[in-house]
Amino acid sequence: MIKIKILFNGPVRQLNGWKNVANIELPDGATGYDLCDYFKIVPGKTRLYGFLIRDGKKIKEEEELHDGETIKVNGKTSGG
Amino acid sequence: MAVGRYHRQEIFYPIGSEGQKKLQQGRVCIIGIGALGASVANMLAQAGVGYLRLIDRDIVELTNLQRQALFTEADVEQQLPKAEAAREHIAQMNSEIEIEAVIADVNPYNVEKFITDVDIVVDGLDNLETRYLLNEACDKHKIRYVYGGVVGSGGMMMNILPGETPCLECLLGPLPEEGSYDTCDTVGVISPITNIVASYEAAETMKLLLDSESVCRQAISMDAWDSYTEFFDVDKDPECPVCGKHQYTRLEHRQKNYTASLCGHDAYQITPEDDGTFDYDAVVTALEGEGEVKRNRFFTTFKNDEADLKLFPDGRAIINSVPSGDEAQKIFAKYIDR
Repeated sequence: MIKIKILFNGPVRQLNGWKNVANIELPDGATGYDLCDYFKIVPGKTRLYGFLIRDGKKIKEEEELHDGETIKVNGKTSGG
Repeated sequence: MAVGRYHRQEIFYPIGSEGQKKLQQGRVCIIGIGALGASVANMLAQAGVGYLRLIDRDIVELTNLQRQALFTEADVEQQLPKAEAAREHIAQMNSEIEIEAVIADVNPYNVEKFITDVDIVVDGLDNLETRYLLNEACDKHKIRYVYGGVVGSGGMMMNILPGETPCLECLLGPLPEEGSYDTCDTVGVISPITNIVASYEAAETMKLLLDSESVCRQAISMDAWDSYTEFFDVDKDPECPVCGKHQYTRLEHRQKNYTASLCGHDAYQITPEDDGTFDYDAVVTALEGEGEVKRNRFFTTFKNDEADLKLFPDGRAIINSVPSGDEAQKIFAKYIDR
């Protein structure tokens, strides 16, 4: 198992019960999709969800996650 | 010796007097004059950007005043279009610049004519659909596009420089299904975040006009309530249909009568194809025999037992209190497009 720290940026924290931080465990070889599954996020469907950020860079959901990483969940901003 | 209006900006080293001249020669189109667009317009006018085109389809409403700079209660009472209200207020603040107010819905028919004679397009839009359309148009014509968006207490901004940086679709992925994302009408928005994002947009626009080395090439994510700002990189996607393959499906998707749901308003907007045959006066005259008609210098409202609509001189109509786009189309066909 790998341990991942998740930070929810802004309004998207609704997907984590309004909390900004979550510490979760995922199986070895888990990807961003597994992270999304954990929070019942369906990319492209779930309201508010936008994309993932790792080490100051947007990553695709198919990318593998690693033990000890911090992943940020970012929302979509549609208004103006 | 008296100092000029832009003195404080000219003694700011990265701009200087030469930079000020460049700003005064700059041409900027701001699409959407709501919370973001009105603030950006205000700041660029203060900075002396020489030409501003302000485009918006909406009328000033009371719920706008909580966050949208420039507008007043008098604008609400007079039912002024946002573009025109912003033009009038900005003209009082800076009479040395040229401001063009355009009361229009930006759609596949007209987006290209609005952006091809300006240096930069700034995003003040309130929906993703038009942003994705604008992204295609800017990529096609190699126009620099300053993206900004807000919802709740969060916001994002990114400079989209065709041929150099990733585009909006690289950042946000494929356009989400309508109704699958939250908007300011569903989860609200607070004024501090709109001003933060607008400030970044205005600063980046000024830097782009000056060809500054300080132009930001990262995306920025911010939240005014959670007190954070994050800069992050986005890869250009070679498979991106817009900036990778230059396929412009939204731009080329032209319907006879373009219909759009107005989020949070229980209304649909219908924009007919501009074939030069629409006769505003004749249509309004015909309506006068069929219900209550009120006309001002910007639009006409019409109401009877069946229809409640607002008609604009360019043929665009907002059909209120209808359950679907099909019902709106029926009313449009019966009363406008006869």
